[in-house]
Order: sequence, then C-alpha cells, then structure tokens
Amino acid sequence: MLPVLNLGPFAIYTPGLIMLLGGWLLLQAIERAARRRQLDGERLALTVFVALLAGVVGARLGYALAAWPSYLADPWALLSRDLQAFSLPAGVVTAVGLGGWLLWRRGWPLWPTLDALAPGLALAALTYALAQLASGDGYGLPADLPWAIQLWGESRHPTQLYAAFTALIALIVWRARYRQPQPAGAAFLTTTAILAAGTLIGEGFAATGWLLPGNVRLSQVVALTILVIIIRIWSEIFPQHQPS
Amino acid sequence: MLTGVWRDWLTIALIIAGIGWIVISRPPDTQPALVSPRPGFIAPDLTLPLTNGETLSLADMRGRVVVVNFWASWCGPCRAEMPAFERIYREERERGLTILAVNSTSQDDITAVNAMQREFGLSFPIALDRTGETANRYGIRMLPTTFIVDRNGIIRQVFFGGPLSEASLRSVIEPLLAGQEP
Repeated sequence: MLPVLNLGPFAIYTPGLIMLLGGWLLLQAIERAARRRQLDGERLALTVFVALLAGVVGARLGYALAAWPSYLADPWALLSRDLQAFSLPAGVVTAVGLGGWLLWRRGWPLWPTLDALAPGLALAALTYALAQLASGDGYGLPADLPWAIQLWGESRHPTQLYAAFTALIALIVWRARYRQPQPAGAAFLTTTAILAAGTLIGEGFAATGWLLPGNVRLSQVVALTILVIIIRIWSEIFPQHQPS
Repeated sequence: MLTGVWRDWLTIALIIAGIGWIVISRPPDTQPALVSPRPGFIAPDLTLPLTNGETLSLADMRGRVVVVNFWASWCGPCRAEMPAFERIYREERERGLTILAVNSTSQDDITAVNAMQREFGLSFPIALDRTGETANRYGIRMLPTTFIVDRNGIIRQVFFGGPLSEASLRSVIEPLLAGQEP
C-alpha cells in the first residue's frame, strides 16, 4: 500500500497517478482495437476521452450534490483540488451515459464498437484494482492464508490483487483471440463475463463495499446478474454458431 | 455453442451456485474495530504538548467530532486551508467540533508556528509533534493530511493534500455533527 509517492520534494497521490496512466493506456488500446475492426480508432478514442473527462466532472458534481448545502454556500469549491471529493458511481454513470449517447448519436455499430472497447474495459478494471491496492481501499476480510497480505493490523485476503488478476486474465484472453476471426460482440461479452465471474468470486472475500439487506454484497449481485444475462443472450446474438 | 436446453440448465446451475456463494460469503455483521489511520478504524491515540504549554490527548475528545490536521508552517497548501479551519471551528465548536492541528515540529520551527498562529488568528489547539512519532503512527507522507474522527473515535475520512475547501470539510463533518453516523 502506497497512497502517497514521495519523489524528491514532490508528494504524488499514487491512486491518481495510476488512474492517469491507466486512462492513457486504455485510450491507446481502444484506438488500436478499433483500427483492427476497421473502425475510426482516433475518433473512438477521442469519444472515450471526452466521456472520461465528463466522468470526472460528473464525479465532482455527484459528490457536491450529496452535500449540496455546503457547495451551495461555497460554489467555488466545485473547482477545488480536493482529491477525495469525488463520487465514483456518479462519475461512472456520467461517463457511460454520455459516451453511450455520443456513440449512439453518431451511429457507431453496436457490437463492433463494444468489441473495440473491450480491452479498455479490462484495463479500467485493472487500473481500479491497482489504485485500490495503492490507496489501501477495497481491502479483504481477515485470513490465515499463505498469500494473505498484512494490512491494517491483520493478515487479509488481497482482494485488490484478486481483482487485478481477474482483469489480467480478461486481457490475456482478449489478446490471445485478438487476431482470430470472431463474431461481432464475442470479444466484449467474453471480457465482461470474465470480469463478472472474477467479481462474483473475489468480492466474496472483501471487507468493504456496499451491502444490501442481509449483508449481501451489491457487487456480487450485479456480477451474477451480468453473467446470467450474457448466458441468456449469447446464443441469441450468435445463432449462426449454434449446432443444427 | 449452447442449445436452448443446455442454456437453460447452465442458467439454473449458475443462479444456484451464484446465490449459494453470495450467501455463504456474506461478511460478518460486525468486524472488530482495530486501531489504524484509515477510514472505518479507530484513530490512533495521540498525546502531545500544545503551543500554550498544556498537553492534549485525542482520547479526551471522545464524544466530539475531531478534525486532526497534520501541517507545517512552510507548507503552502497547509497555510491556505487554515482560514477555512478557523471559520468552521468558530461556527461549529458549540455543536461539538474540535480541530486539532498537529504541527510537524520535527521539520518545522516553533517561532514560525507561533507567528502563523498569530497571523491567521487561530483559536483551535495546535499540538507540537516534536519527534515525528505521531506523524509516523498516522502514516503521514504528505502535508497537509487531514483525518475526520467521529464522536466514537472512528476515522470517517482522510484527505490527502490540500488546500481543503470549506465545502469538502463540511460535506463530511455536517452529518457527523448531526449524528448521522454510518
């Protein structure tokens, strides 16, 4: 865990640095994957970049909305450099909403575009896992295992590493099938399914996260739902691959 | 590829296994509170001398919402956020807010600390961490770093860097003062 990186006289907030690097890598990967699918890679990367920027703005606005009396009294605080004054869910909803709307409005083909975004999805998951490892957030339940990590006074499941490992598997599978002919949508659905399966299993060892009544983790419910949806729609999307 | 029947069986198996795993892996109702300088954990205790010669302990402030701010007089962002701290302290101390400004005296000059206290008219307690031991216990690697501690001594938010805006501080402090603790 390394929330702050000291480089000479400079103190850098490590999760922020990881997010920046991850964002840059994500854009590069999306651009290349789009070109491979005969899409305008530069334009798609630009759209994703705009969506990411909108996500940052949305994250700040979402945070301010949750504490609106404070921000109404001091609106300039919306522009402050407070690194923790962001709402991740609001940012994700804004980025996905705006990005999706831009792509839909310009008539991008659904499945080939999602396939081009697949490596970006896996890289985003990897970036988030590493940022959490650096900040110490998203830590695991206490565990007495050979691979447990010492965190916050106890040996714990390295849940951030489980998430990073899942994202790496998704990336490896995506890369292995990169040059193989695949039906449109297969790369995206495969990547999503691997990430969802990893979340369903790995989050079972997490000590943090949003809980539903009965101490059920929201992340696991969402992951299971995504997996079920993928299984249900897989043969609908690729009927030509079904045995006769 | 999946045929209709196989797809149905796979879906059912996945739902049963998934729900089973979700139920089995539910986190325990209560996890023991440990001492650590991060949100959700008990704030490490600190007992330090103040600039007025008295000694102050964080344990003595149990029952109040405490903002523990690590700072130094040579640190620009630390200086920039002090007026916001002073305003909030004056307005909210009657509701149970305390601001404890821990000066990293091991890397600062006491004369500069006193001059800064006068310059900004700071009325909240300023503690002197002469050995750096308290900063070590709180894992301080960046100034300023600010911890928001609730009435039960649990850290609710950590802000790395600054200057903090008054709105960001209030967004965390207000629910704690109002008794809306998670």
